[in-house]
Amino acid sequence: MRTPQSRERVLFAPVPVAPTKPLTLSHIKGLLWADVLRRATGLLHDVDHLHSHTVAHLNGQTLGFWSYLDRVHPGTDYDLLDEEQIGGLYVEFQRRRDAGGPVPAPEDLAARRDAAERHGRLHPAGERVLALWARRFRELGLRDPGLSTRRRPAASLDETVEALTGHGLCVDHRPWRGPVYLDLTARGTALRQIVGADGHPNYLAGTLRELIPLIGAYDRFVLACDRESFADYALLRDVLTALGARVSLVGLGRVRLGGSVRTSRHGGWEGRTAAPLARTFLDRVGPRPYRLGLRLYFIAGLGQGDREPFRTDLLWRCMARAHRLLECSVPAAEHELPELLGRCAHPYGYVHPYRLTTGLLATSRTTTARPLLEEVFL
Amino acid sequence: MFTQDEMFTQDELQAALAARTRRAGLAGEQRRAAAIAVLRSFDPAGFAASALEFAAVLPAATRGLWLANFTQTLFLAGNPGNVSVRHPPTTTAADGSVCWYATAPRPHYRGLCLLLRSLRGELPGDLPDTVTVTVPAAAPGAAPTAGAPAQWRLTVDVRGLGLPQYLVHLTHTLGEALITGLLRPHDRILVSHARELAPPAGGYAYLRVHRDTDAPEALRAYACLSEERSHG
Repeated sequence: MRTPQSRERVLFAPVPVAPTKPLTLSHIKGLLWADVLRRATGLLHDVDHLHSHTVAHLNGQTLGFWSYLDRVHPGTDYDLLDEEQIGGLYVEFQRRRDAGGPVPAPEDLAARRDAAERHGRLHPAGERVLALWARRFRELGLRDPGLSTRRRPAASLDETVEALTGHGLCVDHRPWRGPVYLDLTARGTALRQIVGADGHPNYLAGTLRELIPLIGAYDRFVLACDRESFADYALLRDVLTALGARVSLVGLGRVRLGGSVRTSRHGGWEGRTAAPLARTFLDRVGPRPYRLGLRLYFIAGLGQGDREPFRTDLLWRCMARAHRLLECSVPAAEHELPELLGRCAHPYGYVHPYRLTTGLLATSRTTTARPLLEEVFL
Repeated sequence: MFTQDEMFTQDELQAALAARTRRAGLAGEQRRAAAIAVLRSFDPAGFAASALEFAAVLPAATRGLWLANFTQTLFLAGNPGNVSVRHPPTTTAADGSVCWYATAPRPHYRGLCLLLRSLRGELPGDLPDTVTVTVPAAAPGAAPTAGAPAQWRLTVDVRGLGLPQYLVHLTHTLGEALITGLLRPHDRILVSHARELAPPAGGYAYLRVHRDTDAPEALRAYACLSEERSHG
């Protein structure tokens, strides 16, 4: 392992998933990449994982969905529903909204935001999805990033806007009920709204409230997001860098299903989420091959982009490969693992999951270091 | 100058509108050109002063182009200090709160418009009743050689106006009054914010008229410029 002097303090902050739907294949891919990145990088550096309650729950989509449920489906017992059924209601909410259905009153959204921010209070549908996700996380072998934490960010919205404005990174028109924008126009990047004219902050504002106060506490931030959020996250990276942070950014493509790449809010994931995946594979191959096989497929098989379509036959093949890797794993020499991880971390500042995982599949390799599997992949 | 004892009639408003159209037609060719104002922050005195400064420093041909295009202006949110790195403005307010880009055909500013966002917002609740601004020395026309500069009152009817609409009416009034020579260097203008607009007892020099947003089939007077004390 590295000497303590060379260890960096790293904050890993992937974009969190809102608990409004099941874990789709795209979510699973993101979570597996995040889990491997965090655990492997944690062998080289001191890594904290930021799961933001504010970003995951206090956004317009999630609060709007909860408002919709109380308006259209009052009295529902969500403990009787699974995550696909709750996700079905979410798709219904999005469809009606896109069709011009009623939108929640700003006061209602503000009250829900306040309850969630001050008291950590989530809607029963959200609590139910999180409880089900905890089970899925265990099945998938994912370390809990803090799904149940209800911590408020260290900075308020006002403090965040003030800090940004002080560095010329923000245009604040709230005094006359206008929006707040991130401003990197000097570099040719268009203004990006982070607080609406209605006063509601979006997920970028929430992320900045979390990260700006932590700039001095970490040597590096590692941000991760899907490709659709990449432009926003690149902006976050540049803003945080301008404030003095060292930032790495990982962009990840979604999983292509039936020739298309779709956002989960429009459905199309029915029967292809974490629970059916476990029903298909987990009991047949066992927990350890299941966890390793998923990582081999979703990281090395599908890769970082979104070009490769999801194929069940290849996932089965990865399960078989996982079996063999587990059988032929051997203890590693003390220096072997840090050297391997160090190679996979250069020049990113984090251990790149694709480089590490494809290394397991190298045809020249006859054995696999058991500590690597135990610490990172199982 | 017009004189009127009661509220503006629709005929009078129509006449003011027709006069504006004539002035624009005489000023030159309409080429769908516009000026641009970029606002980081807003205070009415600072904004009015920057609008006058901008109109004053424009070359004569550009002033004519602006007038021919009804002093059309796009109001964008942005920080002049940042946006000027890639898009140097024509003028910038001393405190950096506003900058202006000279009138040009719309495609000329496509990049700038993609970078920034349309200004949104309401008039602040603490909008002062009055602010005073001075016409800059660079304005066209000679300053009076004898006596004090003229004193003007510009009354803006702010009833129902958002911030962008307020800026539109103020900019049109100041810009057109300066370009047509009503306002001269060193003149002082008392900008007054009212909730109704009655014709001044002594008549007016310029009337800003546009469609009534509450009754689109009717016209409404939004701003009125009247002289309180003429050049000595």
